[in-house]
Amino acid sequence: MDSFDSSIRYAVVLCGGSGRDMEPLSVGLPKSLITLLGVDVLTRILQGLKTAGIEGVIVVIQGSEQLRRRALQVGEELGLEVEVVEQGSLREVWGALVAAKNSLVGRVGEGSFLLSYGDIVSTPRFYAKLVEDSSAAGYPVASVVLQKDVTTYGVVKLGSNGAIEKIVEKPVSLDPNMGGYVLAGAFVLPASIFEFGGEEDGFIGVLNRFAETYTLGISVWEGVWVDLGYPWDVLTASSKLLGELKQSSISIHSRVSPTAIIEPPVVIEEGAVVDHHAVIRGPAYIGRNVYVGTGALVHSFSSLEEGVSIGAYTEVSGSVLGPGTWVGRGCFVGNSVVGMKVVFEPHVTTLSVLRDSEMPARLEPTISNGRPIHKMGSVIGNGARIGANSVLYPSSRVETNATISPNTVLRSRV
Amino acid sequence: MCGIIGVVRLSKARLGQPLGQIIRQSLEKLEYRGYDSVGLACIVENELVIRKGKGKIKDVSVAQGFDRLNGDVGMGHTRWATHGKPNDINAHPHRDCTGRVAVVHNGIISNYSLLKQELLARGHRFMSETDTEVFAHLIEEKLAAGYGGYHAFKAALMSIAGSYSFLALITQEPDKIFFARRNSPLVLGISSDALFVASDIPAFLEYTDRVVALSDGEVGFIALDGSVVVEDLASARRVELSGRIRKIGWTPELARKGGYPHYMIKEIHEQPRVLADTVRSLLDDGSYQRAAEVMLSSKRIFLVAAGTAHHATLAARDALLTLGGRVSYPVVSSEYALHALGVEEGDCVVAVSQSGETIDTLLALREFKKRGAMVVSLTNMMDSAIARESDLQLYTKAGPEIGVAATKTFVTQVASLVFLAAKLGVMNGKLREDEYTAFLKHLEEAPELVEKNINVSEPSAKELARILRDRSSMYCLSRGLGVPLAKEGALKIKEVSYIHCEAYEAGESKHGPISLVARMFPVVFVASDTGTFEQLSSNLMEMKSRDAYTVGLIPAGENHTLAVFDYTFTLSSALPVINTILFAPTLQLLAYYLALSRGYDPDKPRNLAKTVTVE
Repeated sequence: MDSFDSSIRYAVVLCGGSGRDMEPLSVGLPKSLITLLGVDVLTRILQGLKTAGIEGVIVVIQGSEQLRRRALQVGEELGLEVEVVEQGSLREVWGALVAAKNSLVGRVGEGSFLLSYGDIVSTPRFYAKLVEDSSAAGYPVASVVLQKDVTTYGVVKLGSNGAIEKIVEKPVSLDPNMGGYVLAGAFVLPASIFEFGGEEDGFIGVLNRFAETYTLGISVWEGVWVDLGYPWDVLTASSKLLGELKQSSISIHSRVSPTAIIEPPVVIEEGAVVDHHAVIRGPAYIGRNVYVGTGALVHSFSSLEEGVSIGAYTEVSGSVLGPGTWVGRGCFVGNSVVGMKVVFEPHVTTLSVLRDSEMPARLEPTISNGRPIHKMGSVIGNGARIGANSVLYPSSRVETNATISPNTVLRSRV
Repeated sequence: MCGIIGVVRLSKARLGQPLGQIIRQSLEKLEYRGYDSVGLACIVENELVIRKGKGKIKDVSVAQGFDRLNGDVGMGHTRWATHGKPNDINAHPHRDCTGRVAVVHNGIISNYSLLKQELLARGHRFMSETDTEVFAHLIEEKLAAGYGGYHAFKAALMSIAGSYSFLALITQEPDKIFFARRNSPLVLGISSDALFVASDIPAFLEYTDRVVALSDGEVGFIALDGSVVVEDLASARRVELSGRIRKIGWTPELARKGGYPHYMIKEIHEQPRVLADTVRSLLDDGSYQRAAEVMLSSKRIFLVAAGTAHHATLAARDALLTLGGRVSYPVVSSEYALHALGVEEGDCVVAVSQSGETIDTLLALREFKKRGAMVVSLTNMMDSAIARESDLQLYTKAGPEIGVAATKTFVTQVASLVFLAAKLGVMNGKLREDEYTAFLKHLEEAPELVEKNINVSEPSAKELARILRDRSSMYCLSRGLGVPLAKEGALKIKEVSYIHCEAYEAGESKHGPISLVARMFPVVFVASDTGTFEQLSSNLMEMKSRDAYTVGLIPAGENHTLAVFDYTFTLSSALPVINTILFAPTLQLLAYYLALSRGYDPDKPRNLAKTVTVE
């Protein structure tokens, strides 16, 4: 690499991968298509790339027809030139990038491109800052974020010049010699990166080899950033996006009872109905055609995706309810991630307060009354049905399409 | 407090972008000095064009089309209001009645109301409420009296009392930028593509690293023919510059953010490197030996500084006592008038200032010197005013610090001062040779331990900031050698996060302050002085029994009774005097992440400017 061209017009988005750690939420649904606040992850990424001035995107998939269609459709809506490439049997990140090589090199020649993982949730400035930092620096950069629990990420060690010295994948704990900055899954790289690895290489190994020879700078991102690796990351992502809401928006095509109490900021989309005496405490998201029953309480940091229905006197707190989920009357759903088309029969209760030692990887504590409390409700797979009067212990897991009989006390751990 | 930049472009071939854009980019580098309004003036086809407004550089420059202005001679200004509130009219540059003179100014004209009355009586019309505008009208009068541009500029200066750095454009001599300096910083930047005159080096560092620091009472101009003329205003004698051109060892890269979202966090991360640079320079630099000799032979030692540098001198006081065997007197610069009463021949004063331009410290130094004290200075800027006026110059090697909140300059100041104390200790027999060697070893290891502590603290500081973000008040406590750092930590938290944070000696709690402590009141304990843990532990208990939210900075590996905080930072440690350096970044990080989690920009704290050049 003799010179670095920092004008970036093309991007590669990697949406392959099995999403096994995301089960049961990823059964029958690639994680790039999980919806958060009414927008799926892939669309959010493409919107961000558009904001960063990207003109064309190569989306790498692994067999999902659903993803192929969605990528092309969103590309058309946004005016992005989208090409979908099949990853086939090539493995991991590097394999996915190699799959995109021909299409990419055809477009950028010896220039540079933006690479993004397809399971990242952030706000639109994320990619724009990366591109700006790379162009200001005049060399390739990796976006990095600060994490307390680094054990599931690629941790970067910075040299005294402020550039990446090496990357260590999934260390067992925070290393005082390394620190807490981890790869954020977005990079500006030169096309010559392909000279640094063969088909069987791991991506981190390739980056390390590259960084040994050339400068690989950093772009530190302080805003919303969540890597959707595990089901509870959906909860984190949704609450961070809700935390960014600065004002309410209530569709004129929604129906909110005059006796309902709405505490801003909330988003209420078209077709939604908020019935008498319901209370919605912002920040909260009420999606299209959602029904909130009489006297129901939607507590802050909750997101009810399209078509969700919650019955009278039900309370939802700090949870994400996937599209088409139906919650009967008198339930309590707290700190839980619920997939698509789940049914809660009446009077189901989820419990959520954990002992510190039981916290799953990378889940941040919630702050209650100024003190951190470790809370984790249930993870419920798409299409499951929870019987009436059941009690789900903290961090319970219900498989896709499972049926739980009424009056069950469930203690299965995620 | 304002930022000034003047540019004369010599080569369009190499600096092709519009001049307005060059000036705007330079102003952005100076924004840290003060930023309520901004403006620029260019000479376009022998006419003055002035654009200015209230607000951030980015916004004003878009609204006013700075980037489209072209020409070869122009100047810009970021303003931090002293006379007249921040608004579009009071923004600089200011002009005379005829539109032939434009001036920008940093400082305060102390006789401006008298001058303004006289000028009004003579029929001048004033647009703004600023003190600066009188200077434009004074030049106008001299021009009307038949003076040429440069002579009018110099003649007008004669009427001005107070502090200033001025730039002026005069259409009569449209190829020049005139400048003058008295008690406000001004530096020249020299290259074959362009000539610059600015308040600070980062303004033009992207274009040149060849710099001349102007002295008080100097006046002159830079011109399109490449000439640089500097004279002494009082004697009107030409000043020879060739020996004064210095090459600055900073790269523009260092002055940029390097991928970090803010200068403050970038500078926090630079600490291991600049500390290593500073420690290395300490060992090579004979000036410390001489400074220690001065202190050894002096009757008393005064330590003069303001803000963060004052906290560094508090650490120095403790080190002088424990390592150096001497009692010293820290003095807050702005209080110098009182303390100067006690200064006599044979005393020594150590003046500490990052910029070397802090006006209070400069004035204190002059007063102390007048009364016969020897002056040793510790600054981060070569040839700064304070350095020039002192008998002996010491320098930290922190590089440019752009974030308003001082971070890397604090740790390098403490390292330098503690080293000085140890040198003195060896000389007067307080410190044995083996103790000195052990001390040096700890100091040399400090950069590596600082890096570890940054790495360990940063994710936790971010998490703790989320927990504390809604608090409006907190305490930062310590005992013994930890107290100066507690004070510095509290200052950092106050200045960037706007949470009221008070530091005091932990034993003082029951003499008053503990009455504020209620459930969840945050109390940070800086446990950097191992000798005080027993007492600190009982201070912790009295806070816990009132249900305070306690945070501890404790040394790793110590099996002590302190590990009962609600939130703990376990840090690498060394000797207690050096722990002030090792533990400082943790509190800086906490302040930074508190600012972010509360939605504030830590690089631009309200009401503050980086270098305080007005009293």
